[in-house]
Amino acid sequence: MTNVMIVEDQAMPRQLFELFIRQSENYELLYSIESAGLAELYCMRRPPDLILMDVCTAMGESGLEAAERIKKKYPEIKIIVVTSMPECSYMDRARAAGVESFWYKEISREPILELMDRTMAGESVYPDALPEVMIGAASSREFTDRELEVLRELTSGDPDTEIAARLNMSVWTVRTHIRHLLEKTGFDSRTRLAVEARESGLVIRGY
Amino acid sequence: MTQSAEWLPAGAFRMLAAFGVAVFFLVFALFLTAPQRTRRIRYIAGPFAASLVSAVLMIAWDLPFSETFTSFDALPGAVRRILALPVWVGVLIDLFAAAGACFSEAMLRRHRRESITRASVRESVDNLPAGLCFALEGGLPLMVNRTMENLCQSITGDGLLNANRFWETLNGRGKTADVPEIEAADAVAVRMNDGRTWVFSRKNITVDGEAVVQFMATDATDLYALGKRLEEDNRALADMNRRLSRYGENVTELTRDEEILETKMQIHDNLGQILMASRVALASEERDPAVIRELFGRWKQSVALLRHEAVPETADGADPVRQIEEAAEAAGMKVVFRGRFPREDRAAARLLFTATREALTNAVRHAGANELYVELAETPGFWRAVFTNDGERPRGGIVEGGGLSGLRKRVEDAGGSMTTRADPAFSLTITVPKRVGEREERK
Repeated sequence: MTNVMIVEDQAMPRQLFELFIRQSENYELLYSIESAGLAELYCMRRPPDLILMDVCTAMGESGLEAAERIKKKYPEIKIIVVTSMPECSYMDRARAAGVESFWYKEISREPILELMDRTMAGESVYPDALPEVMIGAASSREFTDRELEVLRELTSGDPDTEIAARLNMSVWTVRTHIRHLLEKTGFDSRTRLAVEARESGLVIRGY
Repeated sequence: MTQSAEWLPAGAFRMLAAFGVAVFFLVFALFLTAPQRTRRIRYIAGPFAASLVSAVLMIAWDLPFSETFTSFDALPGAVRRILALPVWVGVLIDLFAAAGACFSEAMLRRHRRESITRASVRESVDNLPAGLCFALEGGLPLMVNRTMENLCQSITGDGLLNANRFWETLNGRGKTADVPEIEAADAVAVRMNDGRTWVFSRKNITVDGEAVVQFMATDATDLYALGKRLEEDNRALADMNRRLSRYGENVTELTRDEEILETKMQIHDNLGQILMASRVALASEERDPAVIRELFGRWKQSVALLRHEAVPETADGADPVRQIEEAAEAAGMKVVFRGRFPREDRAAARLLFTATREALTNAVRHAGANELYVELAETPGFWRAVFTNDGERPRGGIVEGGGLSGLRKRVEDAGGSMTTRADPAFSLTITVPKRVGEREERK
């Protein structure tokens, strides 16, 4: 039997995962919690074998950060990051943290149980490509990494000087990136750009 | 006279001499009217010399030389030589003189046209669109231009008699009028009755070693209007950025709401299918127990999922204190909260939550503690939490690892503070700013 911990702050998907696990023969639900920040504490005494980890979880805690901490202390625990956010950096960050598998709640065709089986069998399963998101006239794949970084910070609503300081760029570089982003998307204002980018979930700050 | 007439063409000589005198007076007149001494000399040097020669010629002819020098031969050698010069030399000299005089006159006219005179200064200063006044330190005006005079008239109803008193009036009026004060110390903006805005400024200058106060009035109506628009635009921009920032905080929830709705719709679709399948199963003659069992299972699933629809979800899940207590229990710990956890202040609650789980993790891992004590208090503008535990105190000071340094960054970015102490026992104190102001603003 594989003991599973679910880290998911919304009742609906959590119930679905719980249901899947209860119905399966190979898995047993050990913990079901809402905030990723607390996941590590659950691993201390009676660690699970597998964690289904959401990214944006209760109390603003990041599932990716939690996964990184858990992987450092308990590398034997397998983790599947599950998210509905197409945020472009999540997959890379999950890989860097040593997370075994990655699953998009809506886009991934493969049932979650199958992914859990493969992951437990030692496979590492990641989607082939990032989900494509349209922002204005541009596809999310048209943006460069630096542009996406600027775009992410742009959603903070902070002035260019602060964005530049956070990204270790000059203000002019930040403005050039913003100009390119506006050209690509065809938007006429940075606010519109920021709102559309944030709404699409392509860039999310704070998790 | 008669002797000289014998060897000099007297008529021509007389004419030339008269012409020379005329030139002399013309040049003299130029000398008197030229505005600058240096220029005077330059203008007149040539013609003056020429006319002097003419005068000498005239005198030589006209004065009764004959009585002293009875014959031409009796004249001194120098005079004799001059007089013996051919006539065309005299003509040439006079032509030169005339040309020089004309040139001088032309130069003078040009000079008059181009040079600045007292009157021309006055005239241009009066035509300035700006108001200008120079006064002694005591306030006595040395010069007031027309614009300044008019401004003073319409502001005080009187002429500008004392610049300092006028300045005081301006300052008094500028403050009461509906015009924001200009940033500079020695400037004041005044809105006139005609709707225009004038900026008056004062500056101490030195003229020829004498201290003079310069008052200037500039029509800043357009500038002022632009400045005001810029100010409004900036305010709107700041407001938009604030909204954007808030939107960023809430959009995750919005996206989730959409997701929840989608899941609910799926469940309802499922329910419809089960309902149909059930009706078909119930209507059919043969009742397959396997089918019934499967349908029953699906009913149970859907009902279980639907039950959660009734429970309102919050973005931060269940009660944070309960979440922490449960996690602590799973790790074999107990958390003792003293004071109130500010659940209603979301940003603060999140930071305190993170701090608590960090303190809890460290207490288990590094101190081997069994209990974590969290003392929550409220200070003006801040929430404060002090974390202690019953474990061993850290040896060799506290090294802020990834967890604590990450927490410090988050707390400090939010405008709070974080301090750790190793002596006499480990303690972690954080303060986080209250967000009451912003909540009120949202209303």
